Amino acid sequence: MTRTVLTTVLAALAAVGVGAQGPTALQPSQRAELYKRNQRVIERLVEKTVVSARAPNNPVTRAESYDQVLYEFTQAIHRAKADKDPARVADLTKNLNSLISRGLKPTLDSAQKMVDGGTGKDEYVQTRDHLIAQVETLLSMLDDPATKAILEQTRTSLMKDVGK
Amino acid sequence: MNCQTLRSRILALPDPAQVPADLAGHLEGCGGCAAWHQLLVRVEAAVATAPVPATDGTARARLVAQFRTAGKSKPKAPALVVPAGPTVGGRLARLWPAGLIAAAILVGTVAYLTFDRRPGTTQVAALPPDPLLDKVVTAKIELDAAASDANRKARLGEDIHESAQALARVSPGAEMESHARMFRDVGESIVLEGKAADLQKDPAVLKDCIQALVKIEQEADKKATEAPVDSIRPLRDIAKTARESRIVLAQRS
Repeated sequence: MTRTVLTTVLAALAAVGVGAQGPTALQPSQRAELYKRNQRVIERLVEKTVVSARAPNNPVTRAESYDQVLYEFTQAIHRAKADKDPARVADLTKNLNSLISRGLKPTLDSAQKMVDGGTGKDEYVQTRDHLIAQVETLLSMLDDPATKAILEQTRTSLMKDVGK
Repeated sequence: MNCQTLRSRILALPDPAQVPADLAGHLEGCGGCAAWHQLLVRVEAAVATAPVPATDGTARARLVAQFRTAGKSKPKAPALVVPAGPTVGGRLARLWPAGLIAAAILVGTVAYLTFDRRPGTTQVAALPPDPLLDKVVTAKIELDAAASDANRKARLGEDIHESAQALARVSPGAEMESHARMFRDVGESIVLEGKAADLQKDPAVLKDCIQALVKIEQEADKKATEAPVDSIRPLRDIAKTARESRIVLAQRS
């Protein structure tokens, strides 16, 4: 009887332990494979994070840093779709969603305020045109309704007149 | 000698009435076997003296014909001694059609998963979400929202370093070089941030950052001693960047 109870308790503990391991508990080989697939996006994100940090008081420069990041996301999602890898498309879309809603959108709001204040209108217009092109490309290839809605909002925000 | 052995040996004798001395001893002391032996001797004698029934010769001719037919056919293989029950190997051998079907299904499944089903397309194994991608996206969002934050950059450095630690053994070469480059960019950014930090406002602002860099330096150096050749230089580069960055920050604070 004791043996049966002990075995059951140990099995339950093992199950809890395995279940408690989150998505970060990946095998090194899995992480290596993920890095190979996402290397360009990750490298670009780090590069543009550092570039953006050099201009703490210039939101237009920070907004510009999203142009190439969005381009890399577009390319990565395109490749994941061609590879018929819906899990990776979902992961990239989720991160893109966060990046636009919590990163690009507030940065654009700050940039528009700066331009409305009379600074850097030409730079902003150029950045805006590039971003609109990236957003439209993403809109044409994404299926996730939540991310599409955020992209629509971003496009509307970008098309707003500024610096009058 | 037990009764079963004795009876088997008597049955094997050419004349059951002539019992050897070693068997006779058992018969003298065992009433059951003695009665069985007497019955056997009577049956033997009765068979030998039984009259042959009268016949018209038809049955004899049929029997001879059967022997002749059997003589023309292919000689049979000598009879094999069949064990009382089938062995495990014998049972498994009889299951060969099921084994063949299972093997065919296995080969088919492997081929289906391995090869392209349509020209021009590739099928890749689904992987879980990428933790490094998630962390790097979060770092970009948080650092864009903050005017300056050396400690947040140090955490980004830790994320890159942690990924390099995980990949050092399994993915030496280009991927590790990529990690070292990213860490160098982040290290330079931390140094710039540290140089501009307002230490009068917060004298301890760089303390956590320096501690994080010390830890990264130690871990990267340690990993380099046990990593494959193509991971050693990237790990040493990470350690060097961490060391140089923390020295600059320490001089500043």
